[in-house]
Amino acid sequence: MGITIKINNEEYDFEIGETILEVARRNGIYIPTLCNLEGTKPTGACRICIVELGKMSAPVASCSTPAAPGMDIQTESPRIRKARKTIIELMMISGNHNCSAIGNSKANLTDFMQEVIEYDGSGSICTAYGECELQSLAYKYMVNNRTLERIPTNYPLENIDPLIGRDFSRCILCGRCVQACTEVSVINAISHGYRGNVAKIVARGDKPLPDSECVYCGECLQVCPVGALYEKRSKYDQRVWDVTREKSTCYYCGIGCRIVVSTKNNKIIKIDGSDEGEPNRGQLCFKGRFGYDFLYNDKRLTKPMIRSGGKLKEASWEEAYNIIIDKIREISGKYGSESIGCVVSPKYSNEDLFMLKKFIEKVSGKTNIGHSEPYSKFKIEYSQIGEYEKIVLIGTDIARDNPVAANYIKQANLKGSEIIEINRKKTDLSKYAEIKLKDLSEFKPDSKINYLVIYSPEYDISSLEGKSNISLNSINSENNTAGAYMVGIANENFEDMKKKKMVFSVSSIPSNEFNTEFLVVIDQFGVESFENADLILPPSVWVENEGTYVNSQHKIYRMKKIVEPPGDTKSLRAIFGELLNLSGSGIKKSTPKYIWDEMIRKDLNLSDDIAYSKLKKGPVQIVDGFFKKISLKSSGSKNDRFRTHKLLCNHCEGLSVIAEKRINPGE
Amino acid sequence: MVEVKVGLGTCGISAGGYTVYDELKIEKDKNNIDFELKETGCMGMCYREVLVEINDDNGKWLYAEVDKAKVKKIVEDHLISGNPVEEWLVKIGKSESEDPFFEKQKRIVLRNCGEIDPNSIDEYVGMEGYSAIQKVINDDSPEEVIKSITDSGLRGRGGGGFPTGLKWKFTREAPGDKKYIICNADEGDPGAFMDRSVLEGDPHSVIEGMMIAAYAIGAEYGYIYVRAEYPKAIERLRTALGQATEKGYIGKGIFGSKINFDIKIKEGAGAFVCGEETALIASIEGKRGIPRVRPPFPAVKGLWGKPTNINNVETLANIPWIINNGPEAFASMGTEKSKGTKVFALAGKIAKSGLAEVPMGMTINEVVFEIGGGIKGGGKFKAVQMGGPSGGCIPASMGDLKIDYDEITKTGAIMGSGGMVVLDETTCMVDLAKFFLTFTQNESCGKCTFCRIGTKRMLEILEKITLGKGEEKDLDLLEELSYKIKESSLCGLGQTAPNPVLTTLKYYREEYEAHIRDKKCPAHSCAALIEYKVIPDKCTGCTLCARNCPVDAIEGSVKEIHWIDPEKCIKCSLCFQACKFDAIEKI
Amino acid sequence: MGENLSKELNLNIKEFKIDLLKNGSDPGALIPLLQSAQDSYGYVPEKVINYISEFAEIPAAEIYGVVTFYSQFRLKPLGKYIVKVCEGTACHVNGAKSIVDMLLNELGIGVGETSDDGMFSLLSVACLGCCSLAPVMMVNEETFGSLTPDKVRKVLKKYRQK
Repeated sequence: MGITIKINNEEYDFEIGETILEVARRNGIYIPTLCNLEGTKPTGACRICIVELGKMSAPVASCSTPAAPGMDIQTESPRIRKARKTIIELMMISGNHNCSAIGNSKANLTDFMQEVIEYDGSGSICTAYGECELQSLAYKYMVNNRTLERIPTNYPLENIDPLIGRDFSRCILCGRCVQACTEVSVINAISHGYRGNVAKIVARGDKPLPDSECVYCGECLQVCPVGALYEKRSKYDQRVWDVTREKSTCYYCGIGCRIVVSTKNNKIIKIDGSDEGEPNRGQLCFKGRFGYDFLYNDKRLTKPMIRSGGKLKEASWEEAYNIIIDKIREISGKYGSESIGCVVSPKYSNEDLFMLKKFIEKVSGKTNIGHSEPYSKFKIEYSQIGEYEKIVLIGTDIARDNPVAANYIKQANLKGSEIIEINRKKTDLSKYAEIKLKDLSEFKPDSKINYLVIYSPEYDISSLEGKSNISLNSINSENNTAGAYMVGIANENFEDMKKKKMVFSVSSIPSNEFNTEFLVVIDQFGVESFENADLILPPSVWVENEGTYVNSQHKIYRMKKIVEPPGDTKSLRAIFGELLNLSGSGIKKSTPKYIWDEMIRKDLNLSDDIAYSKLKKGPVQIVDGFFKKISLKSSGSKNDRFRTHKLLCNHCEGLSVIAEKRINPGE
Repeated sequence: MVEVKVGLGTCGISAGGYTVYDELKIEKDKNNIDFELKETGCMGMCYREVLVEINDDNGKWLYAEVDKAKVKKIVEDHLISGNPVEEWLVKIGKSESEDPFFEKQKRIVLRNCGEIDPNSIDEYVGMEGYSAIQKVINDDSPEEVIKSITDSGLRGRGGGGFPTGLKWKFTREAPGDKKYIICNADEGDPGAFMDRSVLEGDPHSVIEGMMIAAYAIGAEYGYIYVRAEYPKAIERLRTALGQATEKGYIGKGIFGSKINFDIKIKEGAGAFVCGEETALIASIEGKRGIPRVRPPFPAVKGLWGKPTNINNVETLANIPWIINNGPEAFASMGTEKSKGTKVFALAGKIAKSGLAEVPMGMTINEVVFEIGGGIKGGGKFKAVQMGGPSGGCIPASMGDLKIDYDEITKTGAIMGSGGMVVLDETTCMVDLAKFFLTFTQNESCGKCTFCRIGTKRMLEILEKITLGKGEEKDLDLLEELSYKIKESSLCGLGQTAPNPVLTTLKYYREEYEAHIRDKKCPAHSCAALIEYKVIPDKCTGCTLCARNCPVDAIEGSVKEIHWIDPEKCIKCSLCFQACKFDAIEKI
Repeated sequence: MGENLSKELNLNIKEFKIDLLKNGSDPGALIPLLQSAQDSYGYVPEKVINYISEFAEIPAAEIYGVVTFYSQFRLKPLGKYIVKVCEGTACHVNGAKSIVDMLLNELGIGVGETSDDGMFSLLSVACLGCCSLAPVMMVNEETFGSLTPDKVRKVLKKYRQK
């Protein structure tokens, strides 16, 4: 017999330490919350979650009151409903919550409505309309803010930041953003400031966000229950009824954070962290959250470009293919077919990479294809980082390279895990490190303690290998590095490939680093960095295509196509499927399902357990040892790592300034 | 040797105590008289500062309202010639008859205040000081100490009235390698100055009380959280701590035992909410003084996450006395559930404002009339306000109410920390409620919705009423908001913030209604609802009022009856105060 | 940053360090440090906040939150004469309002403000602790009790002529 409490006259088991709210939620009983942020300490600030413990005693905040045996709780008694109504009403009148003004003709607007509509000059209703937690509570508890008069707000709109808008007039001071900043991303850029009815969320010196320590992870945006914090670029676009939401995976590093992509008219307008669980549990970094609008950059190529008369000019795919086929013939004739090579950034799907590899093998007769990414594996779930007492960071500036993993490390540190940093340089995590060492040789692990080591994959950690108390982990900089290794593209001949006579560069390497007779660049952006290219093909990328990817934990996941690719862009698998056919290979189909099930899986001997249709249910772990079949070399230079991140972010409006500061340029 | 003591609490100092002290020293040196000139704390009679006590063979002579000019005569007549200056005396030598102000008091907490030099540990030791701590270390187990305090019936003097022994027991029993004792000296109620006077007048008694508490709960570290607005208290505390450390009373192995105890002073930085225990802890930890949710209670998880016991200054000052005199002696005073004494800071419209310690069970009337001498200027007693912003008003009709935690709580007010503000007929109860709510509003930490926005709303409604713009429904709204804020706020500050409104609504609803229905302020206090008029019969045409008027609203030339233009008048009341003939009235 | 600035800022960093060490990483000495900064400067300069943040690894935003929470701390320098007018209960019922009104009128500044010439700052305090002298105000260290509006005018005049 366990211990029980009664909620709304039904009995429920609970464990010591559980709060009333937790017991209720576990059992599907609704209790409204505003300030509660999962995974952080309850603050009991907003009071909306109060419940009744009997007529005689005062209501208690369920988020912070531990369940105790014999409690008899009512969650929606008339008294509680009335109190909640008051809370909502108090919040509604103390800000520019103009949602109540919608649907009224101008003549019917009260002064209040008129004022709140006009105050930011947009004439538009609150950006959170339709998704605002306060609004839905007002609706649920039938609050019309008529009894009390509106209190003028204290602080003007902060509109100078390119990414995050802060509308203090809509802030209900729930403090979720502060908790997100101090307990989730642990950046500590914002805090509660002032007090009483002039309380405000402040950054350093109460200055705007750009003058603070903010790194634009945007966790605050995501947790804001109202319209106080919003993504500025899509301020009036994110009306819930206009927006389609799809789950997907981040385009940047090897963590492979799960995201929710909001689109409107076939255009991404917002990205949030998906709270479905591993790997990121809702968190994102600045790249993942804001780094999407490179897709819509003016400089994005939508047609093939061919050099003619010294200049790159638009052309048709047919023309481009013809030139490629001709050039292959010409160069093979002159130098032999192995003088054709390819470099690739592992940012494309397994299907894309596989078709590319197939094509290169076909035309060069060898696997003349390489990338610059070292082999990595992250062996545990990221949420398990906190289970280690000692976390050793070797050579990695993880807060910049893989910020979400750094979140987990900092969270673990707050809860008592010790950080040992081995790095010659100061990194963003140095200030959290209890022990700082310059060189690995100074690190003397205690055989009785379990260590979690996270190292930069270039770092030679062989001295730590084979110790049962040390878990060695690293994370890729590109989202599908493990997939590239899986389909047989490694980093061993990367430098050689750059020197081939004819190179297919499916990467962000500037064209002046090549010494070729004929350079084919396949990249979204052209002209500037690829001025020496002879031909540029515009690929469709990421959520513009369907496909499978493998993250640094070696989990295979399937991604959906969410938006239509622009102009005449084509997926890599389509381009190389067509080129293969033009060179006489007879590829039947180049759909992702066909390539995965009929080509890749057969080629690699992968079981039916990871059939394309089965991947739809969720990610599947590739068994350990699988990669041993492929020749692996864990060396590589850091020069090229994160280069694509920077290029992409620099093509994102607003993000380029922070990207300049936050992405490692490569040492 | 003859002793001459000058009352140098903040009250005495602000009335010019140091000038008197310096003058006495000059006279002493000049006339080469052999007497010991001493500083002492507040003697309680703040209404007659500066107080100088002469202690000679003929007993204690207390001079009131001494200033620089009077010093010379006192020195010459009394100290040199042996003829006390009777007209300035409030206490005459060996005479049995005491000033009624003192007669009815029972001084336990204030036992040394105004008696000893707070800067001298020896004088404290001379008054049985530091004997209680030695006694418990030598003779009693911590459990026995807790039992004594429990038996004494002592309850928290900070306002809550929680049994002190029980509180100690919780912290004693909480598991933890390190425990803390905190003395809450963040006395923030406007109109309360009991704790300050104790700290200024007898700092060692608080330190000793903390030591006993530390011994009982098993703490090796203590903090005194004292508001920075009390520089003199901090200075004397520092001196006292220095002396106690020097003597080895605090530090390692105190009084030859294996017990260590250290005390640190933390200066508050100006936040009333830090009187709340969890906010106080946050403040010591260097954070914003924001209350946090309970449980866990400080007794289990307090300062730096360790079990922590927090007691108020007055509570702690009682402890050595209880140990020395036995819990029975303490429990013999007071009512069934409220034992011992309570110190009150009498202020407001009372004739004798000052510090008075009375046994529990004394009635409000006794305090106001017999100790406090009734209403200043002969006005009519209207109510007492107890508990400051967390408390409420008790009307004069309930003057026979006994001072007892539970009795006072029943009225809607609270015992509070001891501020007792006496009000007469010129105090508008709506305005008073507004005053306290303004205070709470300014001091709300802003964390929880009810306190941050709810009290603001209430304040706005009160402002509306005092401006004569109130509506009938406002009173219901006020009441409704009050109950909700009281019920569901996060911390004590919010939960008690509506008390001043609720009690005045309860006892003086008709005053609110007069503001709303008749647009009149019965106490003639709310500027928007009164009019100033010249009483023609009394006006001498001296022009003083016209000269004082900042807006030239008063017409009339010399020796003519003046007239106030109601259109121009801003109701600043300057003319009313300036008139020497009471020729201006408020209606 | 470092010792030089510490000297320049005249902060008792040593005691702060000891406190930090004693309390682990808990920045319990933050408030005393800010108080000592205010003692030296009359206010808490931004560079002090930034310095403490760097030195003690307390986020600058959090320090700012602390500074703005406590009424003792000021982010701007005060005037030559600081007028603290008591608005405690005893003063209130004894007519503090007319005193405040007179001060507002005479000084031409609001509560919490400093006059343009840097002569006067007007602060309102909850209780100066001499309720028996109500209504009371303090100008720097000097207390003036049993005030009337007229007396206020005279006191200010005295300071203006100083």
